[in-house]
Amino acid sequence: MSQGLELNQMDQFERLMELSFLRERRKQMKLRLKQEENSIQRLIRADLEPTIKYQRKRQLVVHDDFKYSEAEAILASKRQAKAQKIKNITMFTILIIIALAAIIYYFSK
Amino acid sequence: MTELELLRTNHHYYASLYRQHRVVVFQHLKQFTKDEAYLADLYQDAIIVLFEKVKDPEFTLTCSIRTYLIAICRNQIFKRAGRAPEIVIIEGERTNYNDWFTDQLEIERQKSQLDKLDKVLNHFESIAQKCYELLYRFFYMKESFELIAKVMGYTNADNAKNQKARCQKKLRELYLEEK
Repeated sequence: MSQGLELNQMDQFERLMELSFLRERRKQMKLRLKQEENSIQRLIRADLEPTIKYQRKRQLVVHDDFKYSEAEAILASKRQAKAQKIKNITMFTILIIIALAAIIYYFSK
Repeated sequence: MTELELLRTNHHYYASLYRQHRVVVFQHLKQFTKDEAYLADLYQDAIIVLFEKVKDPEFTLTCSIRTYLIAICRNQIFKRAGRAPEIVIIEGERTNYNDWFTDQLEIERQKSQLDKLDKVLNHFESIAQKCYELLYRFFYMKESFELIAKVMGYTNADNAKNQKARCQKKLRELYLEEK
């Protein structure tokens, strides 16, 4: 009975966590979309009021949605790094073979 | 690649989508109200609904994304006026977006508990970084255990799943201790 209650509480907590992250996700998305709306409004206003002489330079802030890089992107960059490493080792081996062949050829004469 | 596929694969695409359909959607909705701030709020919510729906691999659209967004906004206008159905009705399309509202209502109902959990999560992030990352990847980024295992160095998906359960237990203990 108490085990069932414990499981139920665990499920409730899992749901609470889901909601917590969902709320955060929606909040971040809403923030990002509000930024989009504001930048659209600025453009519309700039069209309507072309007489502004001096305007503070705005820096475009790229708002990242996630705290961590996406797993697929990390794995792709790891794969790329591995391929590059293999390529480098192969090139290095080929160069050594060529150098050795040249040395052997030189001394055999 | 269709817009739906782009939305599925590119996590930042929803912002471009917002710009792309904004003018036409606003034109349609201006028959209900001229308040642009209200329309923007509705339209932003509609984009979020679509973004969440798209995460379900079985979700498909027979109409265009624009039609779907307009339908969601229209339903929301009625909903906010207290007389809306929870089904988006478009010709040949009946998508239930009940769950989006159910979640939203639950979030509002559990506000105090969620605020407390947020506080605990902030603390948890500083004391157990790896655990927090695992939970964040699973709940927020919706990554599979297989991907999490690969990227965080666990031997397999089951191992990552077990680790998630342990982290969640640790977090729950902190949550229960918190006044």
